[in-house]
Amino acid sequence: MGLISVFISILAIAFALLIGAILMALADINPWEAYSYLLKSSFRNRYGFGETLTRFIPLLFSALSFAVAHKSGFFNVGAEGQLLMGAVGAVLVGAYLQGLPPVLHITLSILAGILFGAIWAGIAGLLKLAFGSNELINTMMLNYVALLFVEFLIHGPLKPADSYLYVSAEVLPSAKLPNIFPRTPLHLGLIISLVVVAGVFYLIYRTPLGYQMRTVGANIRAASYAGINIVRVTIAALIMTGGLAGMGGAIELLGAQFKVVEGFSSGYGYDGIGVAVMGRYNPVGIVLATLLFAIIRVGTGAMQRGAGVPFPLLNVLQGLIIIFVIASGYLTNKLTEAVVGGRA
Amino acid sequence: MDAALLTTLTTWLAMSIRMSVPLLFPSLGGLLAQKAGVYNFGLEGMMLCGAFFGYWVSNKTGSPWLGLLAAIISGALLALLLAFTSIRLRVSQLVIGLGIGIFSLGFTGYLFRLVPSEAGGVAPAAPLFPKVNFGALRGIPFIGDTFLSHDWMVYAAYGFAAIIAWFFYRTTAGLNFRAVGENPQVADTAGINVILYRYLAVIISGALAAMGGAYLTLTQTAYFTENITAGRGWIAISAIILGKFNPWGVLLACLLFGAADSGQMHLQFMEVGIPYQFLLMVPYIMAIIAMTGVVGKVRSPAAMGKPYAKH
Repeated sequence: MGLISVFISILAIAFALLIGAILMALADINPWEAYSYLLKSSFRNRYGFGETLTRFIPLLFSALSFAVAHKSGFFNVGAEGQLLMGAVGAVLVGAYLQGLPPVLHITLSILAGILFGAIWAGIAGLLKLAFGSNELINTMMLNYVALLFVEFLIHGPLKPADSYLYVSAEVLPSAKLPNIFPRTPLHLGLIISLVVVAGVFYLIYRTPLGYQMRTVGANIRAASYAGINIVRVTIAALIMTGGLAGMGGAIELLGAQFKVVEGFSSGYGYDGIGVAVMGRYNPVGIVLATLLFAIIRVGTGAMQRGAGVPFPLLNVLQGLIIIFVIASGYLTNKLTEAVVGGRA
Repeated sequence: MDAALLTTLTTWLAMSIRMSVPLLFPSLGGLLAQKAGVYNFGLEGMMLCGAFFGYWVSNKTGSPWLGLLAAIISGALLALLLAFTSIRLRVSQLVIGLGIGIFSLGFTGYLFRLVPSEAGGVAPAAPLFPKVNFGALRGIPFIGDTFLSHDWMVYAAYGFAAIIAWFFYRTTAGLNFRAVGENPQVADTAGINVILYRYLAVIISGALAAMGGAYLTLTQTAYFTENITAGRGWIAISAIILGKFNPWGVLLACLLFGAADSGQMHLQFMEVGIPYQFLLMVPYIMAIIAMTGVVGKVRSPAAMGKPYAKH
């Protein structure tokens, strides 16, 4: 199963890149030249490598957010909004709370991000628990609401009086995450994100709560018969899925951008869906898929600058990867049957 | 009634009708698919492709009719992909819908940035559908301005709602259609081709969603902008629930959403002191409220979202 999944994933990427090449050729862009920019941007020099790992961080959080919810039977497509709200929470603490030592200041800012993200996911979750509302639509609607709310904040209440741009105040030096790879933007968030991945999957696979979450996700009726408190488990899953996305926003703010600006997230929340699908919701798969999506994201920027490829090609590639990977689930089963003579 | 108030009321109502249409097309499409048992979560992506290809082909050929045709083809092709993967391969209908949405956002944005801009850096405009000419009737006070001031796509959307209602509740094929979404095993035993019905439902739903997108660019804006649909393909699903899975209910739900949208636009013009961002939130918050059961218990088709496998 494992090897076949990897093989299928590589095939999916190859197909997506092939269609991307066709689209470029139709626009009179040389695909080889363009793709060489993609590869060079991440691997040719130190800065590109650091930048790729910096983009890796928020992507990983939003992928984890989607994966945790998915495991618990909750369809959270609202990481984009939760990430934005997390950044709002973090900027409130990070920019306005003064006189704290760095470790405490950073911790409190991140906690504020987790809280805001969890509340934002919690709205959709409570509506589901109370009214059976479809959480997919609600989390999607809340993305638009969060985007508009952030736009309001940076046009008004959070905009510094002396600023001509629509931005929030900058977080104080004591709340900034330190750089860990000089002459690149890479910050401590990378280490935090990897610790969080390990923690999340330990919780899901090695603790009673994680077991209950997975049971609810796999079969809610069976979970109910088994005496699992569905409401309690769902709330735990909500806090985790929203908290993870919010934490991603907070860390992106404290480590990379320092201010909330228009276009702060630029789609990390949606990218996370593709990453989680491609990573098959397991820890190693998700880390590898995140790295790949980060390379594609940084690379598409380089393709735009170097070869004039319109940036939305990023979404084309991601959408195609999702479609191919999910459609190949069928093929994976067939292949597994053929190779090992039964369902893996 | 004083004249100024009457004018405001008339423009608000007329705009409510216009703003209901880009929701009504995808809602009716989504309704068809869901009644047949398939979740079409790709509506947003299909709308986007409809909006772009409608704009692009209309601009290239000078004919909004050809633009609309291209839009319908693009929506139907995406829907065919959704149908094949969810009916034949039986993969997650939610994930494939999301994949189609992300792909379409990128695809239309990519192509749009390749459209050469005109002098001044603006994108070229697409020829629009004209308003229907009602002749002397157009002059009837109030009625003329409110109901007879639209292009044909507005009347088509409302006409489709009536046709779908008639089809569902007055024809044998419509009964079969609903059976496929309620209990595919029984429908199959009764000799109904479950798979064929589902394919047709999904493909028509894609065509309708694309018409909703094309309505925006071919009757309202004349221009495409990235993510022009702004979540209408998702709000449409909420409108289906608010309309209790009934075509007439869906029509009323879309009219209500249209009225709210038109209302918030009027408030923006009137500068009432509410920040515009909060006014723009109105449709999304309404979509959330619509799903809290304000209309009472909603019963969805029993086999909705469940792939069918012959045993």
